[in-house]
Amino acid sequence: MLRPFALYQPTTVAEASDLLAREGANAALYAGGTEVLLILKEGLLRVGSLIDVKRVPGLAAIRADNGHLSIGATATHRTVENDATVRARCPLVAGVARHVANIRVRSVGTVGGNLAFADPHSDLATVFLAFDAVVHLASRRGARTLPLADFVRGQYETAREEDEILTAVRLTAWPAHTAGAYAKFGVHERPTLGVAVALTRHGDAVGAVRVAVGCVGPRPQRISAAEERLCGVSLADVARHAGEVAELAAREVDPTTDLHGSAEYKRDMTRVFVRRTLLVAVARAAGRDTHERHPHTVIV
Amino acid sequence: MRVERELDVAVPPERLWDTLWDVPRMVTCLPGCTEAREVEPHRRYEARMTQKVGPISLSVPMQVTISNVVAPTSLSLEAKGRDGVLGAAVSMSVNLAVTPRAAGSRVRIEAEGKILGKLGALGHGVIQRKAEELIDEFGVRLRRTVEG
Repeated sequence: MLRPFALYQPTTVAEASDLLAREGANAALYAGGTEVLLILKEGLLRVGSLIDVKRVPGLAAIRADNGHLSIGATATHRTVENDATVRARCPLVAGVARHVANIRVRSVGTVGGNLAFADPHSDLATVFLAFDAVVHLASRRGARTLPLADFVRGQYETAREEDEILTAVRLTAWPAHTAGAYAKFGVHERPTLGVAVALTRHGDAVGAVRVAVGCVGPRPQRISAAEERLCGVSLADVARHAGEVAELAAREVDPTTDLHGSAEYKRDMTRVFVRRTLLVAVARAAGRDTHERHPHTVIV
Repeated sequence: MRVERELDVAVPPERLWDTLWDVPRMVTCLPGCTEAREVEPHRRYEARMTQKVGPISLSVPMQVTISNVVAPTSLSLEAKGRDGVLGAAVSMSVNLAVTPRAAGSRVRIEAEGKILGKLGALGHGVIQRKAEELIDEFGVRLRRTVEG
C-alpha cells in the first residue's frame, strides 16, 4: 500500500536541490517511479515527500556534440529507443533501450532514474560503460562530472550526495569502423547478466576493444584484461581467442550469489556470454550478422 | 547468510579479550551500532543497529546474549531484533575464537544471520555483501582500537 506523501514538482534543478537539502532523508527523487514506487509500496522506503524532477524543463534533452551523446536524466527509455540522434550516434544504446523491462516501464522509466537507483540487475549502466559514460550531477552548490564507473559504488549505492540530482549522462560515441553487441540473459523480470562488447577495426586487426559485464556482481565493470588481450589481434583470429578472453572475464568479475543464481553459476555464465557476445561483435565487424539465438537471451 | 573472517592483531589475547567486553569501545568498532548498554555483565546486552542499503534504512533494537564464555579464548553471541517500520526480523549468531600468535592474537569470527520480512525482496545477495562489509569494517576498527 502506498502511504500518503507530499509531491513537489520543482521547475529548476536548483529548486529541486533546495528541496532535497531541506527535506533530507524524508524525501526521495521521483524520475518515473518504476523503482522508487515499488519500494514505497513494499514499505521498504518511508518518505514524507517525493520530488518529481520530470517537470524540470530541458532535463530530458538529448544532444550530440563533438563525438559525444548527452542523454538528459529524465529521458524515458522509450524516448531513447526512438530518438534519431541516439540511433545515429549510438545505435546500440537505442537497441538496448528497446529491450529494457517492459513497455510500461519503458514509457515512464528514465535513464537518470535507472542509473541513480543503481539496481545491479539493470542494462543501462553496463552498456553505457562501453561508451565511457560520464554522469553529470548538479546541486545548489554547483555541478560536477564523474565517470559512471566511479558513480556506481555498489548495489543500490552511488556517489550522489543527498542534495544532488543526476542531470545527464554523456556517452562517447564509438569511432568509425566499430561494431558492437549487447547480450542479456535472464529468466526473471530483470536480467541475470548483461555483456557489452565493441570492436574497433584497424585495417584487418582489432584496434580497440571494450568489454563490459553487468548484473552478475554489485556493479557493472569493464574487463580490462580481456580488452588488452584482444588489442592488435587480427580480426580473423578473434574467434580463436574468444575462449581465452571469456575466461579472463570470468576470472575478473565479482559475482554475487542471489535469487538469480549462485556466484559460481554467474561466473560460468559470464564465460559463456562474453564468448557469445564477442563472436557476434566480430562477425559484425567483418560485415556479417550471425542471427544467433539462445534461450532466454536478447542480443542487440 | 554466513560470513567467516580471520583477523590478526598485534596484542596478546588477554588484552584483546578485555577490549571485547568494553562496551563503549566495541560500539565504536561496529559501524551503525548505537545505544548500547549492559543489561547483565558478561551475559546480556542491548544495542541498536542501523544499516543502510541504498535508499533503504534498517534500524533494529537488538537483544544480545553471550554464552559459552571461555576466557580469554572463545565466546558465542546471539542477537535478535525486529525493525518495527520495515517489519524485518533480524537474528544472528556469532562464534568468536581468539588464539595466541607469535606477534599477538588471531581472532576467528564465524557469523550466521537471518533477515526475514519484506527486506528479503531485495534478495540474499545484497544482505550477504552488506554483512561482509560490516564484519570487514569491524575487523579494521577492532585492530585500530586494540593496537592504538
